[in-house]
Amino acid sequence: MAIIGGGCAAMAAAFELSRPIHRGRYAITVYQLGWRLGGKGASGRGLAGRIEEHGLHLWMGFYENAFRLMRECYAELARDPRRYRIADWRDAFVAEPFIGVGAARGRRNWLACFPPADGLPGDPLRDYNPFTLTSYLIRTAVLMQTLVASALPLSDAVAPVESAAAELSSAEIEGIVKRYLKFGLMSGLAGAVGALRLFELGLRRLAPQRLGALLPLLESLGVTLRAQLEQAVARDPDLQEVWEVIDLLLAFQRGALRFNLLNDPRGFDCLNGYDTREWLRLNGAAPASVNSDLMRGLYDLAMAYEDGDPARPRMAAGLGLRACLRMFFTYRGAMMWKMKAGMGDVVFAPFYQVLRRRGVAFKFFHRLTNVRLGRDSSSCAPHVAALEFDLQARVRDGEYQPLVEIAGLPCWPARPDYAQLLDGERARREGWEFESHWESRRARRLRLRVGRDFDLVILAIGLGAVPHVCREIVATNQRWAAMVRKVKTVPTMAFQLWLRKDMEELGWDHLPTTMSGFPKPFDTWADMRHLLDEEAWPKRPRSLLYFCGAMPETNGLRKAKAAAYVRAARRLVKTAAADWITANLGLILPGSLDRHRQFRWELLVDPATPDGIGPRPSRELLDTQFWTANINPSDRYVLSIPGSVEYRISPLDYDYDNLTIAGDWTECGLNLGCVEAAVMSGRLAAHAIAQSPALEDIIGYDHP
Amino acid sequence: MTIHRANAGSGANGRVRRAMPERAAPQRQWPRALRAADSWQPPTRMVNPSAHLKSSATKAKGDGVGLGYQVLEKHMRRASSIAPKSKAVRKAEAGSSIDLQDLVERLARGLAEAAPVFSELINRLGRVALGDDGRSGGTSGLVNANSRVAIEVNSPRPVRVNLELRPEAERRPLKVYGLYAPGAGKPTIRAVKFVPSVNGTAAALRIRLPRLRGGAAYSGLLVDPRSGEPMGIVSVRAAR
Amino acid sequence: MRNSGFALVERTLRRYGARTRAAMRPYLRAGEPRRFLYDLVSDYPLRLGKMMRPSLCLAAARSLGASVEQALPTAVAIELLHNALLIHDDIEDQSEMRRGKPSLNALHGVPLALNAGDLLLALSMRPLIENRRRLGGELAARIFDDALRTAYESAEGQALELGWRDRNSHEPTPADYLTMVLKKTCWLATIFPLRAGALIGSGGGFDLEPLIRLGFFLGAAFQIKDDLLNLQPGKHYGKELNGDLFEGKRTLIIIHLLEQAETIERRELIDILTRERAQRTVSDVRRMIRLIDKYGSREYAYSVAQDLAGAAMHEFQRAYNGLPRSDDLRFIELMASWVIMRD
Repeated sequence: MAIIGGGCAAMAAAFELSRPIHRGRYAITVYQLGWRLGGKGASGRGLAGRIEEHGLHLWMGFYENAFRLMRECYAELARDPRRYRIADWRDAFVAEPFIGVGAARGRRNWLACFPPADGLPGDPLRDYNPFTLTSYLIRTAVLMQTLVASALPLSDAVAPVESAAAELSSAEIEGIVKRYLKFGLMSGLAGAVGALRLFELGLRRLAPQRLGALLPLLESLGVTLRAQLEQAVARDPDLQEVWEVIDLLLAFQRGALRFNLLNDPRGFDCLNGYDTREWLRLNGAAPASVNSDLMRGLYDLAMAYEDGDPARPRMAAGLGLRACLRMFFTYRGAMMWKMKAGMGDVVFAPFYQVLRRRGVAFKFFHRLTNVRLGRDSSSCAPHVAALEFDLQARVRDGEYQPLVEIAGLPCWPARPDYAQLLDGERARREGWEFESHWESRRARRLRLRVGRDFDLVILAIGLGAVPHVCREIVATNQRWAAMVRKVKTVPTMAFQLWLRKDMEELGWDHLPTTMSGFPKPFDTWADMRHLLDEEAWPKRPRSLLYFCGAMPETNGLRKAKAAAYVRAARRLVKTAAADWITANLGLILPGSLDRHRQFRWELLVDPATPDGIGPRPSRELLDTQFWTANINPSDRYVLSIPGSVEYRISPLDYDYDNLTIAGDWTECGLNLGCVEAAVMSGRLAAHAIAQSPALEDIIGYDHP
Repeated sequence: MTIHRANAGSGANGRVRRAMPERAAPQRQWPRALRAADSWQPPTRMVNPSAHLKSSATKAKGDGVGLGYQVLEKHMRRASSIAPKSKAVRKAEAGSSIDLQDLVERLARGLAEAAPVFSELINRLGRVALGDDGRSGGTSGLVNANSRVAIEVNSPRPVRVNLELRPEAERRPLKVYGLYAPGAGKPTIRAVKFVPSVNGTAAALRIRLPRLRGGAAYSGLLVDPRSGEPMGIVSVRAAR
Repeated sequence: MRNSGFALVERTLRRYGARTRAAMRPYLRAGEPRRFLYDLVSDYPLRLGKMMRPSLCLAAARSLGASVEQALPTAVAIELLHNALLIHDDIEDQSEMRRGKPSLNALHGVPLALNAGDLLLALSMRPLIENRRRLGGELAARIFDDALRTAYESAEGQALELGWRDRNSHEPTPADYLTMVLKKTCWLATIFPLRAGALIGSGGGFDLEPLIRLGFFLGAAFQIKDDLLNLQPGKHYGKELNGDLFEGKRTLIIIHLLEQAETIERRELIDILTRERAQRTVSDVRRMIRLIDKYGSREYAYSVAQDLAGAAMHEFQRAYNGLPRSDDLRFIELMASWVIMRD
């Protein structure tokens, strides 16, 4: 059993197939290029033990599959809590209740606290099945009632209570109707709450086939609400955001009924030809709402910009809606979770240790270069006949030991341990870039043959790398060709800043927060101060911020020679980061600016010096911080462009009887670039091999 | 059977192949999406895959649900006329519940006039105007106006507390995570909680307030902690 | 899960069944004439039934916070009413077996059986009247009204079914069948127990309407499975094997068969079905079974039952969403799979 790649999907597949129930039926080998696992989620420890990530990784509270595997992994790992600060999964993840959206100029930032929900992600789901359209519609109807009610003036809005409702005569009710009609604005809002309540009642009581009857109610409700709320907003601009949310929810409900989502066998997928904003607009959302800060924040979270172009936000409507509903309404514990150390340390080191213990073999420094097809004499369908690798480096004695301990935690280093490699000194001196797509230096070639070296293959590499290593498949299989053409990816970029002052001193007076919707290109940032304790600074910085965003496609640069291209891309990110800091950091941290409203570069902490003070303060000091251009094909983030989703291929697909695929780019039910999709896909790949786990137990796979 | 060696036909070159999957796409339609509640754990099946369905039966699959709802609908439409009712029941039903037929008719009419009535009903069921309007000065007190949820306030200053509950809230456990004021710099009030009754539903709301400035307004969302569904709003305003 | 879940169902049925049976005894106290009346009245109730109906009622009440004692009289009434209707059904269907023994009409003849059925019917109303003391006038009245409605619905359902055996009536469609089952079976078997339980548990505050839907899907799936079991050797629950075929009942299986069969076979079938019961021979029944197998009518019926059970789960969520979890609630939920998977 060969698993190629070491990201979330690969680990999930390996974890499933190495479970004790299979009694060692599968002899698994994981082939990984370079020195570390993790794929897009790989992280490394650099100078001062600092954590260096590909970007900002957040775990949503609805990542049921991912959390479940993580919890099982930590349980099996059974670290001694007296020795390790991160021994249990609860030590590894911290809840993030504060989520924000940066506002366009002239308006205040959105900051919302999402209350903790019952249970924890990965708990067995027993009470009821929340994944039905009816339940989502009810949830949105309830939320709207609450929002509308919250827009009501506080005290005098409602007539005093006279008697119990059950005893009202019809004449009394008529009286109330008249009084309400006289009340103007607020009675209108109250009336709208009543209509919403009625809508909710209808959802609860009518058969799914009959829900179309509620459509006229929604239509007239939209008119009433719009008129009422626009007046209210004119008086109180703070209500603008509330109105935008209500408007979007209303458009969703209307669209769900109009498009007969409840009875469509494809569920939300029937909307994937539309862009999410376009679809909401089609169902009556106001332009201001679909262009709102909130919408932009959501697109930012998914990096949903074609070619990284801020002018081309694209997110297939079915996927966008499914993701939003699951994110807001089905999270458990907290809506978002942050990792307590690097993603490599929290996720991939435990996976590595547990899988190693289960007997899974890991071959580092193996770069896949070609998947070779062949045919049996008896059948016409091709299969994988051989896997060709570059062996990037040879290990001195037997097995490469990839982990190092930092502050008492097994971690991945940011550089390979050259001492374990034959000719390691040379590779270090010459600066071999083991993880770079454009690195061609190697120790030797290697060919694995079917039947001799492997029987079955799980291809769990990034989509961007597929055309490079599956040339034969893409040339002979039209579906694969269409997939690599239609399913798009985008490079991403990120930087991290270690600062010598507290967030409070710098002017941030909220609790740790994650925000998106900020100025491009680094539209998403998070306060990561909780990681500082895990790093090994001689003099601990006081605050830590992560920034990330989609990277504009650099087609011009691409024509340059490989080495020059990589250098140019890195330079581009550094310049963009420096420019962004100069222009925008003051929005978050007004205290980081000097009298002339210039960023105080001397705030940056240099890991190379004992006191953290670097050379002369200037933007060149950014060199002491960490930034990355994720331009390797396999590091590119997978998008969900409208009209592309149906070209994805499922891990269950049977075109090749000894090959299956895994990754967040496959048709895995969720189809979004994220950890959860990768894990679902890995579990699907395991199912394709072993019929276990059952499809019904891949949570959310059969989601409408 | 998970993996099988290709049979003798392919000679010594017997490769391992994976089994053909039972399906290769999600089943997203709602009746099929349902599973027994604890089946999120080890796999079980509602639908027995070994039932060998012949073509005629396959054709009929899925009919059951649609057919069932049709039959029900018809039944409901003529439902209430079927049996005579006692007087007490007729009286009780007149004001309390809305029957389906009535609901559908109102929907068809566009609802504009009916809506305020409903909100009035809801307000009557849920709203508690705090009897002590706040003017008589601040001590703790236990007030129970028409709701089943009592409010206990402990405040150094007179305040007005407003509790709006959705009708369902009566049979749910409730939780409020804090009271928030709009604008920056105002502290969150955390000393607010529901005291549960024996069966787990909310019996009383207990609030301990710091000294609030006149006109300060706080509000918080009430949720059912098990599902996260909002159940109402509590708001507190200090008298000027 | 299947085992542990169904263990909960079986356990609950046993426990609540025993409570109901004990509470039922005082109502069946023997007087004179024993031989011609009171022994007959207590005969069916003392034979071991599944006790699904009273158990549902008790679970529905308990899941909303009532005690078993509060709901017990209603549960007893439901079981008595059920037994009374069984006596009448057996007479009308000329059934020969009930719960593993000869039917009352087979043992004692129609007139005596009818008489006993009438008394049992009247007896079944007593606990409902006594509810006044325990539950108060209004609640007792509402339960009583619902019981009356149940009786109406059951009678209408039985009338529909009997009417289909008339040579001149049209053959029923699957929709007709479900309508009949809704009336004849579901109201008493599931809808009324759920509703009465909810009334008692909530003091009248629970939304009863979703329970009609839940009860219908549950009861209809139950009935179809019952019809299937009747054709299954060794699994026929104390009724005669293939008794439904001997009686010429229009079950969903037969309705499907009539719809699917070729014209000649169809004519032959209708001829068999419309004869007097005594005229249907063992070879007729064998012929019918062959046709049922040929057209996959059992599979059809089972797939409809599955659909209905799925819809029942859906309706369960809608009706009880958000209530505190309890074994009683789990019991009601598990009924949806139990009704079609039991054997």
